[in-house]
Amino acid sequence: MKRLRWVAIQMLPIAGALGAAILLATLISVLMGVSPGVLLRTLLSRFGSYAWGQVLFRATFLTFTGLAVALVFQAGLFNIGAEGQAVAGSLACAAAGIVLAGAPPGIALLLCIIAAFAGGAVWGWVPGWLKARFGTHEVINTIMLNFIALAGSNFVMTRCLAQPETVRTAMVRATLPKLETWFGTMRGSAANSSLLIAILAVVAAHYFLHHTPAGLALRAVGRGGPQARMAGIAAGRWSIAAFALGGGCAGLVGTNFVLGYKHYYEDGFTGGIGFLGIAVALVARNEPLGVLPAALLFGFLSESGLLVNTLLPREMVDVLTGAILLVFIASERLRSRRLRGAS
Amino acid sequence: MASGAYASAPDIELEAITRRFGATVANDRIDLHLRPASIHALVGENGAGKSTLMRILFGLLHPDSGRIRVDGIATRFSSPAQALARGIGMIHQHFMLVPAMTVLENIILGADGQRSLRRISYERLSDELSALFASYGFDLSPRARVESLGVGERQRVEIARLLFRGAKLLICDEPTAVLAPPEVAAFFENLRRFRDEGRTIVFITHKLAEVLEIADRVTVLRRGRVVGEMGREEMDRDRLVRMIMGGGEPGAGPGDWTAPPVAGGEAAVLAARDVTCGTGSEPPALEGIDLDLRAGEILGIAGVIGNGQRELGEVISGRRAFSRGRLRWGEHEIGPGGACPRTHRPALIPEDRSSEGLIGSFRLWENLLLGRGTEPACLHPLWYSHRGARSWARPILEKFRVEPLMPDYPADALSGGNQQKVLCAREISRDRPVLVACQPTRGIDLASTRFIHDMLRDYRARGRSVLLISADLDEILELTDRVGVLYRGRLGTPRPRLGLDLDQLGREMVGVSP
Repeated sequence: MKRLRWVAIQMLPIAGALGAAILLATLISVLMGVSPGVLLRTLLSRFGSYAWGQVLFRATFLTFTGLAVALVFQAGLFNIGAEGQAVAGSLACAAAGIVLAGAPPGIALLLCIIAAFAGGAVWGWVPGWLKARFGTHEVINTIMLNFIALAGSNFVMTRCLAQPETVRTAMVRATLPKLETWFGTMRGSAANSSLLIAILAVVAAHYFLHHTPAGLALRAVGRGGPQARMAGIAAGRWSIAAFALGGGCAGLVGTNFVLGYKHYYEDGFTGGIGFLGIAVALVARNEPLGVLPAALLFGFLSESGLLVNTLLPREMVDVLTGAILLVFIASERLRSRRLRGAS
Repeated sequence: MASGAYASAPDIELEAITRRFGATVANDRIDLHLRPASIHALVGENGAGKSTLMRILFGLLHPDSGRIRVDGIATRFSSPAQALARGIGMIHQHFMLVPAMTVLENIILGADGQRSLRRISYERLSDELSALFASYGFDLSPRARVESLGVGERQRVEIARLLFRGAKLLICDEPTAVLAPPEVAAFFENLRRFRDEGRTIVFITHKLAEVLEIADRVTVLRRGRVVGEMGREEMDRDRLVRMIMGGGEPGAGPGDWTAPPVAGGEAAVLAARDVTCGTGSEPPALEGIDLDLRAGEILGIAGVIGNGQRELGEVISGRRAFSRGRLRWGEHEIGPGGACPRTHRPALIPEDRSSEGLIGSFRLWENLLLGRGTEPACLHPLWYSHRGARSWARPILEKFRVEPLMPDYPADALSGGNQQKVLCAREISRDRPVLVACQPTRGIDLASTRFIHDMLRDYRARGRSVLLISADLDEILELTDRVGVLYRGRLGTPRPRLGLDLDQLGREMVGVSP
C-alpha cells in the first residue's frame, strides 16, 4: 500500500503533464476546426509498424542526447552542448568510416563506433576542462561550442569531405543493420540496431553511476561539491570526466544516423535533437534508466505530429512539448513535497 | 530591579504543544511557562525537541496541537513577523545577516516603518544605533560591513537588531558556541542586564556550567518531553546530567581524564614549517605556522572560531594549497603549490557536518564510501553491489552507535549528533596515521560528544595522531596532550596540557598577551 502510494507520487508529474498535453491538443484541434475524434482516429489509423519504427529511430537519437545531459547533470553541471557533441561525434564517425573503407567490416564498424564516442567525448571534454581549470561557466561554453561545431562541420565538409555539389560525405562501408532485417513490417523505417547501442549505453550509465566508486564520486561532486572535496575527491577531475562521458554519449548519435540510417554524414542533420535531449533528461530526472522511456515519449510525440500533418500544423508538437515540460517542472515541486509528507 | 522605563515582557505559556515530523514526535505535549524578566535555560540532547519548540514559539513552525498563551490570551503565530510584532525575537545558531550590507542596513532590514518608499534617514538611524550600542557596551560601528566583523560582533548585531525592534523576549539558540571565554562573560553580563530591564531570555545550551551560572530556571527536555524543571535554588549539576541522559550515571566529566605523558623523542608524523596561506592584499588566513605532530598524541588547537581554523584544517589535511613554507607528511614533503598524494593524505573531519561533511540526500553507506575510492573491502576494484556495500557499512555504523541503524537512510534523516557520528565513523575508520578533527562535537549532545571523545582517545591509543581543532576549551583540555592557540592566523607554540595556565590560555585566545 505504502509502496503503491510512493509509485503514485513518483508518477504524478508525468501523468499531470500528459493530461495537460492531451487537453491542450484537444483545445488546439477544436480551435483549428478539426474534430478531436477525427484527429484521434487519423492518428490511430496511421500508427502502423512503420510509424513505430520511426518512433524508435527518433528515440535512439534522444536517448543518446538525453544521456549526455543527464550524466553531466549528475555531476551538478548543465550540458547545453549535446547538439555540438553530436555533430563532432557523427563527423568523426563518418571520417573513420571513409578512412577505414578497406578494413574488415567488423573491425571497421567497431572503430567507427569508437570514433563516434571519441569525437563527442573530445568536444565534451573542452567545456569540462575549461570549467575545472578556469571556472568559466559551462552553459556559456557549451553554447559557444555548439556554434563552433556547426560552423566547423560546415568548413570541413566544404573543404574536404563533401561530395561535389552536395552537403554530404562519401558513403561509409561499415554499417549497422536496419531493424526491418528482422521485423519485415517495419519496411522503409530508419530504425536500426544502434538502438541496441543506446540501450547498452543506458544500462552502462546506470551501472556506472550507481555501482562504481567512480560513479559515486561523480554524483558526490554533483550533490555536494564541498563535501566531496573535504572527503578527498578531486572535483575538477570529475567535472571533466562527466562532460567527456556525456559528450561521448551525444557523439554516439553518429551510430544512428551515419552507420544505421544514411551511411554518410550530412551537414545539419541534428536539427535540435541536442536541445530536445535537455527535455528528455529533465523528464527522466537525470536517471539513465528514465532516459529511455522519456526518449520514447518525445519520439512518439514528434512522429505523431508528422502523422497528423494533413490536419494540423506539425508545430503543434513543439507547443505540446513545451507544455509537457512546464507542467512537469511545476508539479515536480509538488511531488517532492508529497514525498516528504509520505516518509 | 525592573526599570519602569521598559514595558515588561509578555508572560508566555506553552500548553501541551505537540509537533510530529513523520513518525517522530519532536514535541510531545510540552508545557512551558516563561515568566517575564527571567533567564530560562532549555537543555537536552540533540533531537530532544528544544529547537522545534522555540521555532514554534517564533512562528517558524506550527504545532499539530496545543496552544500558546501570551499574557493569558491564546495566540497563534503563523509567521516570525507576527511573533516579532508581539515582541518575540530569535537569534539563530547560524546568523541571518547579509554579509555585504552594513550593520545599519542589516538592523533596519524588514523593521517596521522601513518598508515604505520613504528615504532612509541614515544620519538619524546611525545616531540612534550608536546610542543603543553605547548603552550596552557594544563595540560596533553602524557603518561597518558585516563581512568585516568577527563572529562575536555579528552576534551583537543580531542582538541589537532585536533590541532595535523592541523585542521583549529573546530566544538564543546556543549563543555561546561561537564565543571565546571573555566574550561569553560579556555576553552573560548583557543577558543579566536585559533581564533586569524586564526582558525574558530563553537560552538553549549544551553547557551545564553556563546553566548553573546564569539561568533563573531550567527546563530539561528529553525525547520531546519535559522531564524536569527547576528553579535556581534547586539546580545541581549531577541531577541535571541524570535528567538529560535519562537516569544513567554521569560518567567522567571534564578534567577527570588524565592524559598519558607524551612519549619523548617520537618522530613527527606531520611537520609544518612557516606555512602561510593567503593571496594578495588581504591579511593571510594563516601566517608562519610551525607545528609538529608526533605519533600517538592529540595536539589541540584552541581559539575562537574565525581565526584561521578552517584554513589550518584544510592545509594540514592536504585539501588546500598554501603560498609559502613547507609541509611534510611522513616522508613526503611539499612546498607551495604542491599537492598531497592520496597515499599520504590525512583523514579529515570537517567543521560543518552538513555543508562540508555528509551529503544529505545520499544514503548512509554512500556517505561512508565517499572519497575512499576502491579501498573498502566490500568493493570489487570496478564495481560494488548495493547489498555488499550495505553489509560493509552496517558494522561500522554499529560500532559508532549510529541510530537508527539503517544503512539505506539518507543522511539528512538523522539527528545532528548521529550525523556527526557517521562523519566520524567514515574518517576514523580510514585509519590513516593522522586525523585532523575540526570542531568534532560542535552542537551535539552529551552522549554523542562523550562517545566521539572516546573514539578519538582510542585512535591515539592505537599509536595514531590527532590534530584537534576546537573552539570548545573543555574539549581541548579533556583530550589533548599539548595545546596551541590560534589567533588571527598565527599559532602560538604548543605547550603540554598538564600544568597549563588557563587564564593565560584565555588571554591568548583573544590576543591580549604574547
